[in-house]
Amino acid sequence: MTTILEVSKLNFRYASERALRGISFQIAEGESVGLVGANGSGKSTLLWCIAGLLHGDGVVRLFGGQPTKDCRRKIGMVFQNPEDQLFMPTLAQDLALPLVNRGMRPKDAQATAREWLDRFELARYSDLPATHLSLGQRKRAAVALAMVRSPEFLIMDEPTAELDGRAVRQLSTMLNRLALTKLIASHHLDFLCATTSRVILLREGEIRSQGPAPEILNDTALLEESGLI
Amino acid sequence: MIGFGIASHAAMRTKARMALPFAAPVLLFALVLIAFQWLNGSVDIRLPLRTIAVFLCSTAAFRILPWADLIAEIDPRSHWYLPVMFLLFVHHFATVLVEEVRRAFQARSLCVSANFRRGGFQSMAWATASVFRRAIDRAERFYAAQTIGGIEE
Repeated sequence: MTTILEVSKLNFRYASERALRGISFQIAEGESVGLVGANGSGKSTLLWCIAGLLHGDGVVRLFGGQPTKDCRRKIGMVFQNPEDQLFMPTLAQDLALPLVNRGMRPKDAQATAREWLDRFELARYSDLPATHLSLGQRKRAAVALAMVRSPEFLIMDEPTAELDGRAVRQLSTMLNRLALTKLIASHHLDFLCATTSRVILLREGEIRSQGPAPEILNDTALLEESGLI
Repeated sequence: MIGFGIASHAAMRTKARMALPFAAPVLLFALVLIAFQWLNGSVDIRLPLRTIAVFLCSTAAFRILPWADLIAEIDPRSHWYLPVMFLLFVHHFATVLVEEVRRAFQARSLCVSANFRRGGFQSMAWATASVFRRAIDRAERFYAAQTIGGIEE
């Protein structure tokens, strides 16, 4: 199976502290991998390094070694705060923008954007700004925005943060419908259990454990030691 | 910074809550410009006036222009596309900044019993500093999200 992401001996340091220490793992095509860890364990930093937004020491190889900048077209990323991604006057325009930037005609881009909003059950909000939506709807819109560019690899940073139970369920159902490689950082254990097959557990910037999702997420002693329960 | 904080905080307590938080920092900036010119020995009123005029024109443009229709109509190859996108960025970020100011000073007002008693000025300074830190964080994340989203393509 093709390797989509290879991370090897990755270290990253903020001014005064080491955020990542010797991180190594791989993700194969089509895999859905969870990144779990307590607050401050380095999840977001790792995702930013993978997306090429931060540069650490070590190797981050995407799609068989293409430079990160070339890979960005194949990556979709969902940030913790949807307001960082959605800023246009209407939701449909938010989704159409990346397509227009790629050279698609505005009318076609709008049509594709509306299709994606429909798939995420947001069609009736197409002509509203994102600020008029609930947080759960905005999170779904952010995923739709990431998907509209047809990425091959979806990276998500805390997609369930501040969501209520129903919104979490809706989001996990939507995600399970998407057949692409996914890396999802979260400390919502039930959500990861429902959406990922393998889990990497981070603790203080290091990989503490990795393996099948049910095995890791049901290991109470390990989760307690890592500050997750 | 403390002046910026006091101005924003005072503005939020008035009736024109929506407009003044935007206006207070701009007016303060214009006053600081005049103060610097005065210290330098020659006051030229045109620069502060120009600042206020640009602020008023941009505010009016943001309020009056039908952004949703404009974006749908503008051809990405036209000369207007980039300026309109730039204004949308500014508009979005101004909204974010106002929201951050509101949160910071609301949190402060819940902790401080009186503005001008002991601890009032210090907490004002910290709240104002926190707005700058948050604004930088938000700007960084917004830029990162747009970079990944393909705005550079």
